[in-house]
Amino acid sequence: MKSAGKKFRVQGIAVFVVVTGLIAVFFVMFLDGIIKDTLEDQGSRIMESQIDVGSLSTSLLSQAVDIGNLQIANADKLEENLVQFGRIKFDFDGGRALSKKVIIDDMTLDGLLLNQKRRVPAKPYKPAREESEKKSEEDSSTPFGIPLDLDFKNPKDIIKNEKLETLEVIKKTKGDLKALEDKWKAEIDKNFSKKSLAQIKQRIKNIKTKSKNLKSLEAIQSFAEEIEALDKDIEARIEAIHKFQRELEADIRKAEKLLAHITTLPEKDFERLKKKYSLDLTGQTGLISQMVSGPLKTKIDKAWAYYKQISPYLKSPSDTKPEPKKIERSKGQLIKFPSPDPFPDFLIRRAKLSMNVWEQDVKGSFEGLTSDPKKYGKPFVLNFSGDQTEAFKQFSMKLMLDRTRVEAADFLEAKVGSLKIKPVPLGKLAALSQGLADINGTIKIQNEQNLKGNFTVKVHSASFTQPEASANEFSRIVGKVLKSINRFYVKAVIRGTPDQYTLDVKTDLDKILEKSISKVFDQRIKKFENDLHKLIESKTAGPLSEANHSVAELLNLEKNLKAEEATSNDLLGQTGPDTSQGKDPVGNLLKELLPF
Amino acid sequence: MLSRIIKVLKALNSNEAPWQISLGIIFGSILGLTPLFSLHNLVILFLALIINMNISIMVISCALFSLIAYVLDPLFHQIGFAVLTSEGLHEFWTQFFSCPVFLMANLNNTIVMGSLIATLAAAAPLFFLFNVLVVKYRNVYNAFIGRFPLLKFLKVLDLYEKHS
Repeated sequence: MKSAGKKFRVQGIAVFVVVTGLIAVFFVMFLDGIIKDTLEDQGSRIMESQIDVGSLSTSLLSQAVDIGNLQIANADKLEENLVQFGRIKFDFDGGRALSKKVIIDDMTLDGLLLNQKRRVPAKPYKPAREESEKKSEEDSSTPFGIPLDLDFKNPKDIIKNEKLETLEVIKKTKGDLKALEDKWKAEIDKNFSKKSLAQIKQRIKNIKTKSKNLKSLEAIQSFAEEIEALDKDIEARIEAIHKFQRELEADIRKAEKLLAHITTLPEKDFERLKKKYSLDLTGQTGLISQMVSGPLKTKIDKAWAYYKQISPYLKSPSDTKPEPKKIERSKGQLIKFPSPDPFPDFLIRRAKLSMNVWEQDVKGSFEGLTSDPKKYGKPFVLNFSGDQTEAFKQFSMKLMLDRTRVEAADFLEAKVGSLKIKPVPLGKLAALSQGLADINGTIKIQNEQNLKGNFTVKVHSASFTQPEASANEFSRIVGKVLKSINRFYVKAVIRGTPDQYTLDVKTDLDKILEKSISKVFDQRIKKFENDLHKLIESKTAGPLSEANHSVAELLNLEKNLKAEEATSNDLLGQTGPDTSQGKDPVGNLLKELLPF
Repeated sequence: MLSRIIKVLKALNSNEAPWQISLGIIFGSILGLTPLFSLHNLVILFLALIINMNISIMVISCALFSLIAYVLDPLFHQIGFAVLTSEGLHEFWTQFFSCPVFLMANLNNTIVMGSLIATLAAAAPLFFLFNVLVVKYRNVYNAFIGRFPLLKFLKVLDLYEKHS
């Protein structure tokens, strides 16, 4: 029974201690499970890809965490892991954890693996990409997987299957020219018909007949007016002819321009089809360079995507006033305040790690992984090195992400010595079955935008094989030439920005191939191109001449108008003024016709 | 749930002081309107256990206020954001949050801060309001009982049973 008199109950303290004690025990007992579930659930949502934690154990007394088999799925390829770790062990600063700071002095990451197949596909956490987009990427990402159909196709088959731009344009132009021709024919017929000319001639004849019977002054006056009206009609006709001539001429110029344009189209069609079906042995776009560029570009794009994904986490928090965000229900927004504590909110000072590269364990370490590099004042540096393994003699990689200054400066350097090459198929041509590669490369990225990089792969002790005896002569020659090569290089230079960069790949294999192939194939290429050219010409000649005919018709109409003008001038000469003497036209005819 | 309501009615009609009931409602509102798993709620729980107030009323009040907390979240966010980002208070908050306990209490979260400020600001006037309401309720209740001798007898019997 509660008593209204007593304001406090001492036994409440005991109840509080028991309740909080029970809560604490619950948390301690189930802390590992709670953290594991939170990491998997919240982490997956933040990363937009499934995170799996095999095991997690924490020790509050020794302030240590041990995570086993951490897998982060690839959000774009659910059957693959983006990265996975065998084991992660670290100690944390419990005192700073109270201030919501994660400070880890030493961490060990073992068994780092990239792009490993998952046993069970991951759950999607973001909308799936378009199937076509995925497919195109997969196609291009197949190393050296560009299908090479090196037989020359029959030009007739090419023309059958390809749309000629010339024919399409001519079809449209012909219609326009015909409409123009019809319009002008109709206009001329309407305005300058033979009938109207005959009428004028008849009027002149009538006037001449009338002139013989002029007996009074009224008759003479009426006669003069009649001549004047006739004169005006002829002049109006000539004026109309001039106007039509000007307009027709403008239309003819337009038609000629169109004709000039369409006559260049067969050549364009030829160039396009040549580029598609013929062989380019000029060395500008080498066969091997082309084969390497596609997959390399896909890899670079992928690396850029990862880089862009990581970048926001490497930036120091902004000093500007926070902007209100649209919040999730019951989540709120965290407002950060400057802390006198010299440590950032998250810091891994040092970590040792091992990574599986070309199925070999490579030891490495990183330093200074932090959420606030400016506060920490040191860049993130990752190093890997290994030597004398079964796959290579030497391997080293250094990655530095420096966000301590206003402008970010990132740098990657990689060196691999005598890497044993696994068989690499080169389309249908051949396969690089073995060899040793020395790889050297650097990439610098300034301010997350300006990229400069170059990689050189020098292959020695190389051996090429042809997967199967090809009936294709080109393949046979390429295979034969490649078989004779035991060392070559591939150089790649990248410049630009993440969204727009140029990739220039060069290899001496192209020069060797070009030299050998051109000897045999020059004649065949010329014949193929000649046949294709002739076929396009013959296909387009008919429609082109029809278009030409339409323009000729317009020119004929122009001639007709000129003839019409001459006739009208002649008629005006019979009635009109003698301009050389400046006489009155009426007076002129009167003088000619009257007896006095 | 029914037993809880009966307990509330019993508490209202018991000889507990009105402040014991009002405080229960106020503490319940803080627990219900602010995010439950927060450090400040541990302080509320501690106070609720050592102060001789009505726990049943607090539990019922917490449940009722939790229902409307969800709707009030955007308002709490706005209050919290305005308070935490106020230019004039920047120095104060910087000092305040240099103490790890307040960071641990998640007070730099807009909803935690907004809901706590709103409930604490409303606490004092509501406390006095509920005191008045409890007194008024009891007057009405006693007048109602007084009109029916049988009910009056049952009440006396009940009091006798409780004190014997």
